[in-house]
Amino acid sequence: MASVTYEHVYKRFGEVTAVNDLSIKVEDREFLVLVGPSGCGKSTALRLLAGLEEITDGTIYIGDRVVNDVAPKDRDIAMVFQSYALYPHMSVYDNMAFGLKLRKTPKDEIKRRVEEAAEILGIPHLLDRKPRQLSGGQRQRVAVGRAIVREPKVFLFDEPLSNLDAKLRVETRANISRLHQRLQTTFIYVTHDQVEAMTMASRIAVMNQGILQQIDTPQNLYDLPDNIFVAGFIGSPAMNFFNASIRKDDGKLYVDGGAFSVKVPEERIPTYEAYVGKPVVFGIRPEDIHDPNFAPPGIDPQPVEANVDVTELMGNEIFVYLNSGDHNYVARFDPRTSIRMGNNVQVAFNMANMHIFDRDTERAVR
Amino acid sequence: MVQFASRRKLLSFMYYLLATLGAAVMILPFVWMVSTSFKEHAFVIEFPPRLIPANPTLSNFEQAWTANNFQLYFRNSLLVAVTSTLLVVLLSAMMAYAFARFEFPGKELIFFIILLVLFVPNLIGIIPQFLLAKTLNLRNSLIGLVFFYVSGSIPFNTFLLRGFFEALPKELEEAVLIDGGSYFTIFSRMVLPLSKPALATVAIFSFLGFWDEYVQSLTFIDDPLKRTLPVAIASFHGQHGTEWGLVFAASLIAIVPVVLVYISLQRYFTGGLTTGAFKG
Repeated sequence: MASVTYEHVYKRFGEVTAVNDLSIKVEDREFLVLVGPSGCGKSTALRLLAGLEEITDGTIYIGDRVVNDVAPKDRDIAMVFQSYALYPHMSVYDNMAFGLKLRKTPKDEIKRRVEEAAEILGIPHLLDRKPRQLSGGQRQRVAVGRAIVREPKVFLFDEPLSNLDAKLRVETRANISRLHQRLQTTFIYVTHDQVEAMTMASRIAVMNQGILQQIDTPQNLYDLPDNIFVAGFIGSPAMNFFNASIRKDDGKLYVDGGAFSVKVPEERIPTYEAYVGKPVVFGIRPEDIHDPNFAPPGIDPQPVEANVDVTELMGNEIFVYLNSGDHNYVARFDPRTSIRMGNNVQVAFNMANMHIFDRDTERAVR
Repeated sequence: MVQFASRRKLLSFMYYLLATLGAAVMILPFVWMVSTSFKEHAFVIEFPPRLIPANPTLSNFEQAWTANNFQLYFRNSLLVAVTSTLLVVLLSAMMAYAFARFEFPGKELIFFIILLVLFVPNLIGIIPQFLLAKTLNLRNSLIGLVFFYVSGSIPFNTFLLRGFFEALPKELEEAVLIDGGSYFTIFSRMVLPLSKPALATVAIFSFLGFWDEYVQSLTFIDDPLKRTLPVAIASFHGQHGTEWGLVFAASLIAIVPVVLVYISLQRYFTGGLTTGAFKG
């Protein structure tokens, strides 16, 4: 068990800066998820920690030890790869035992640890099989098993679920969370899937173009995104953004989107007052746009006229694609709604959860 | 419809006929060799020729095996071919792995120079090689022969194996590094076992080449006791006449190791020809 610290870490591949001034402190026993679109530098950041890539500049610590020049095998880490990277010519047992054998662990200790890991992962009946005889989910568990038996200080996961089908992914997600509870070790997990990040992480680090955008708990990231990128990346369907301006009228503030004008809650007035008359980006999540007939009690619904473009029934909810003037946006409605395609309707914005971003810096105004 | 069917039959008959003729052209000399090796010297050239000897005899084999230092030549050939094959497989694999996975200055230039050697016909190098062997005191030495065989085969096999190694998934090697292995562990425990088809291909072709090699052996070796089998068998052709039964019996014995090598590596070899089907 150990903390992990990135201190002003850079990684350049020729002209391309894959990781740009990354500073993160991952606490001992934390489950940190690095998330971002492909090419954002998250996998590179993980590989720098694993020692599979050399750091261009900066320092990485595991615990108190600087590991910049330490070989991967001496970093006391274990890694689960996206392709699992199981050794094809070895049995499941040998795959799991390989690292221990290389470290000259006594035979009966190897046997004990492999069997224990197999038990935890529910694969004791597969120990004699070769990887090619396993299903995708089983291979994934073997890959995790290979990491567990080593009892490392830090577990690294590089998109370990992306080769699984949707159902298995949900199941395995829960298993990995359970494993973290059980092992009480530092987990660093890379994914491009914000749902995985939200469901498993104790904290999420969102990256884009090699730069850390925000690091916080899943709920804080969702509720209080620092910038437009994070706001748009976390949440599905993504947050709706409108180019708008702030207008003051009669002591009250309004978000003026041209085709609509909605009132800003009173407690936010001091925050946004400086932006009166300035162009901003107004953000609101799909679940904060309601069918007025099913709006939750206690909110102050701001009416907006909209035309229904498309509806997508999900069973427990319905995604409604709307447009108001030039603005296209999506709402997440109660499935009992009677709204249908082509209707002109009035929808209700719950402005208590609104977001305003500076249009130049793209940073949240708070 | 009927016309079409009969035309198809005719066509397939023609195919079979051509294939049979082709096979006969390939196989008949070999069958003739086998047949002659079982004939007494007096019946080797008889008229009309007989494919199945009237009085088959093993005497040619006995004589070939026991006389003329044959066993010594057989041993020499075996020693040279086996040692060279092992060295070629090992050294080519090590070089190919370095070219496939490591970055070092001048890598592609060095590889290009190695490939250049492939474009030079072997025989052009024979005189410089002879002089080199003389300077290095490697004439009349089986070790010298091994040296030249190995150095001559490394370029092509390095080229062949590099392509194969590059196709191996890199994540496997990274997994070994994290599991606690070194680059040598990767090479010996991952790359070599996973490349059996390619290594078997290299081994079979190298062994065949070394076992049959004639020109270099003839050029570098004067000492009759250091001769290899191809040179020795050629020497069975007498100045005043050739005992064909003997030559063919010796040649047949000489084929045995090749067949054994092929059979033992065959299952990897066929795999080697379908490299693309290999999946990490």
